[in-house]
Amino acid sequence: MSDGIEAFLPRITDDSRPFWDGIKEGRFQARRCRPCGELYFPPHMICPFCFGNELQWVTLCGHGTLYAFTRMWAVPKPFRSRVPYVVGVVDLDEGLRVFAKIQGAYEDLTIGARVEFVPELLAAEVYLFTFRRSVVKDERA
Amino acid sequence: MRQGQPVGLRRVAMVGAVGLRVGTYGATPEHELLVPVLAEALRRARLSHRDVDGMVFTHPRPYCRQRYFSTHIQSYLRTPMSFVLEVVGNGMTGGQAFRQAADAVASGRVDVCVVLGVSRESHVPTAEHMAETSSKAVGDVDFHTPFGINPLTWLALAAQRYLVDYGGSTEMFAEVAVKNRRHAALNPLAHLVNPLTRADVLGSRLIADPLRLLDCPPRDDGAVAIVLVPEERAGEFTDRPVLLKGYGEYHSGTHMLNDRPGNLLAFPAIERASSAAYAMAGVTAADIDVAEIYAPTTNMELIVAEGLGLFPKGRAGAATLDGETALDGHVPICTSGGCQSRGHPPLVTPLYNIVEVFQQLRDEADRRQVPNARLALTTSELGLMDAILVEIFESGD
Repeated sequence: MSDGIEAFLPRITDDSRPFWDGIKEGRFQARRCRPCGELYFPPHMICPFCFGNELQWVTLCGHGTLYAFTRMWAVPKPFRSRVPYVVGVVDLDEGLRVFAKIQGAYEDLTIGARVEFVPELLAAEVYLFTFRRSVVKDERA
Repeated sequence: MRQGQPVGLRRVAMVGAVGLRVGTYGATPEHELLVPVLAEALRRARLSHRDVDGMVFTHPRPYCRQRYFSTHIQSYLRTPMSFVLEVVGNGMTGGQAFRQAADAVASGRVDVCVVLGVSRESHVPTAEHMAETSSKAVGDVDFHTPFGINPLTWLALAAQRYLVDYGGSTEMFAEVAVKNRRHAALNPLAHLVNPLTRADVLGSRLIADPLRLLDCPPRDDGAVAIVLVPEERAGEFTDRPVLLKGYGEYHSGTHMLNDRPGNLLAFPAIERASSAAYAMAGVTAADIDVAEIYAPTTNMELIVAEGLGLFPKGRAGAATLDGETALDGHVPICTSGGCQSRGHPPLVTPLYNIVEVFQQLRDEADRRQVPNARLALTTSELGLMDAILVEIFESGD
């Protein structure tokens, strides 16, 4: 790697490795706090609702609704070769809002579109979570 | 919420406020941009630098070769004093520095306190700046930044929701830029002054849909120095002090995004901070004569103006098209030319906003003077309205 993208890889720690391993394997996980029951994202090591640390990984269904999106033309130098690309905000069916890359052409996307999780290689065997328009029609579509 | 002025604190007055013309200064190092501005601010307040007993600096960019910048300037000017601080607050850096200086005067810690800073941006190419600095400031570096974001990503998402939720139009955004350019043409401190049309804005290249180049700020260099004293001593330094009447601050506990789905444009920090400022000043949004809003992109000027209560939600766009936020409108906004045209040296943009209202409230704004301006409001914010500072000033003559 010589384009500088390595400086943008997420830092994978003992605490966060289950999340990133799950992404690579096609599972989108959040964390639930056992004492207070809250589900939250990103899956940080302390529950932001009660500061509890008895946490469990929860695999989400991977489906959600596109809330907002933008197409990036002016970007950090290591991303220049990828321009343009779309990023956006997805409201997952379990009631969590996440930010991610959105696959597909900007013109084909609409607010409210049903989207589904799909892992995508960034670099160095690290996969990020991205979303694309749902290909499997579900009852909410 | 507490009403009125804080008990036991001295009231604070501004007696000098000077900015370098915003622009691009090439290889000129930070101290050579800042020191002449400081000297001029002190001269106008009839002060020697030996009279200053406190200085609050904005912490310079990581590109500034001179570290311990404040100590270096102290040595450069041979100014021993009892209080020196360098402040960091992302987009609120200048606003936080101002508040620290004001608090130091209000508490009696110092009498003559200068808030000053320099933001030197233009010598670093934009894509490098984003890679080195800004993309890592505007989100979680593990869960947001790897997607290749920059500050404009988030402002663009807010722009899209403004269009959808309020039936807004990109013409509204373009008119903010056009109006701000007209103001800038009347401001000797402004960077971009050539006439601009809505067609120019709507025809400029896309940066982050729906935002285009002319919806966005240039990357500018700038330097500001502002002199604060206790109100009871203001007469020693000027006949026309500007009084700090109220302020508010709120941090919403988010970094760009809340994981609970909701209205992205709700921005609770704006309402909390501005309500506190209005209560302390004993005024309402309707009393504000001129507002200098920290809004890097055109759409954010509309969103913040609404959050401040200057317009109902979703109404600032139509009001802008109707000219209500122009110099001769009923709520003039960004009479300096704003971030898009006065320019945006981010660390000191909040201080340029304060320089503008200093001039407006002293009737010194010449051809962009808002007639009979008595009360002015300034803001600064960081992230996507993750935190905001609001200040209210009153003409003291």
